[in-house]
Amino acid sequence: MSLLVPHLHPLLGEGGYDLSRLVKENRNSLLLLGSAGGFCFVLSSLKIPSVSGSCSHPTGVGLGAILFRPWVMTVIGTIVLGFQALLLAHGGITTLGANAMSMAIVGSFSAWALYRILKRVGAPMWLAVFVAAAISDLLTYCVTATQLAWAFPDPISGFLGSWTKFMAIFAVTQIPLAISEGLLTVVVVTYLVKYSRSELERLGALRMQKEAA
Amino acid sequence: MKNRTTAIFTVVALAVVIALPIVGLVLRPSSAFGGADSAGQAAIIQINPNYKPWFNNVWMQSTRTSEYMFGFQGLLGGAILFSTLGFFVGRTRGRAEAANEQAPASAGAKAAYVLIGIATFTVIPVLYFVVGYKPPSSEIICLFFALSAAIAAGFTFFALFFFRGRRKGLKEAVQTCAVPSMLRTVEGVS
Repeated sequence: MSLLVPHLHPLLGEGGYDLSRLVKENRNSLLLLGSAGGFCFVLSSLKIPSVSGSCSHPTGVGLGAILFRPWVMTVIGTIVLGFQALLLAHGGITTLGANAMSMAIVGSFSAWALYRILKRVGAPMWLAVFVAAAISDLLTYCVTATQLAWAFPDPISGFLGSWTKFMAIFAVTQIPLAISEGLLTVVVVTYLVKYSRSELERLGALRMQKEAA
Repeated sequence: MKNRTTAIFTVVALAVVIALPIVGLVLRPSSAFGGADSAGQAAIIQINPNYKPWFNNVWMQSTRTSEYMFGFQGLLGGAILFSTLGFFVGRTRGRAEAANEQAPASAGAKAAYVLIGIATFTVIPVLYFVVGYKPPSSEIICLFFALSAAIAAGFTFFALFFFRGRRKGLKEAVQTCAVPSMLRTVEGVS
């Protein structure tokens, strides 16, 4: 799994470049960056009990991926994962590459793409944000299950056998949490649109909303 | 969205977010509510009984430390998220006050928010240790620590940065009134 680490470097570089340009262009976007990072930090610290009888935590990358470009959120998501791996012994250092792949890359890119597509189709903003955040959260854990099945294929039923096993553990637990994350993201986006419209417009975020209106 | 719609939506969304885990807890009273990641680890060992993690964390040994660290993460995240939100809300308020659309905010509100924050921070963990209806899993303890820390930091930092943002909103309005056209050009250039 640690073989996935090298694949991260170009994206992290791109994200770091994006991040520094963003802050240089407009100091105020640092505030929005704080909202996105703080949201990601809070949500990934909340281990919430689920209907399946075990606990898991949301990812919170959807918000930042929608507001900024997904590369930016790749960096923030990797920072959160690194924090958890180093200080909380949650996730682990050797699996950082695999976790960053599922949460910071697949999570943020799928949220961004879903939001774009739904806005293009003409969906209202709250629906687009909800679906993007919820599905990206769910996808993160599907990717985790796939990675684990890939690393540990069942001796008898092979890849598919362990894939269904890991999906039952991770994806099913995540369904109610994905709904929660979607709702919370919509709430935060609503308040940001209301109170920091000038920053969002200057950033070019949620641009699609104006076109649709 | 209108003010009323936003408020109703927020309340409904938060109610659903709170209700979902409670539904889980009620429907599965006998479950241990351990982490999905430890269930995954168990599945790995079931598939490959010889598997041993080839690298262990250097310094973290006890689960109690990791529970406190989750609380710390919630504290950090809540502080950052709510300080920015407080700044934005306060700035909007400051602008409205400068335009004489709203009465000035009282200084008592700040003290009230900070006090609520500190109260949450102390009350929730105490409640947890007093009430604890059954020995909960480490995951649920993590949730309590992280949630209380995030809510407390949220209240406190929202209040602090609300007033900071309000000052900024008021100052902005004063500057724009003095030399509006010049300021706009400067803003356009930078």
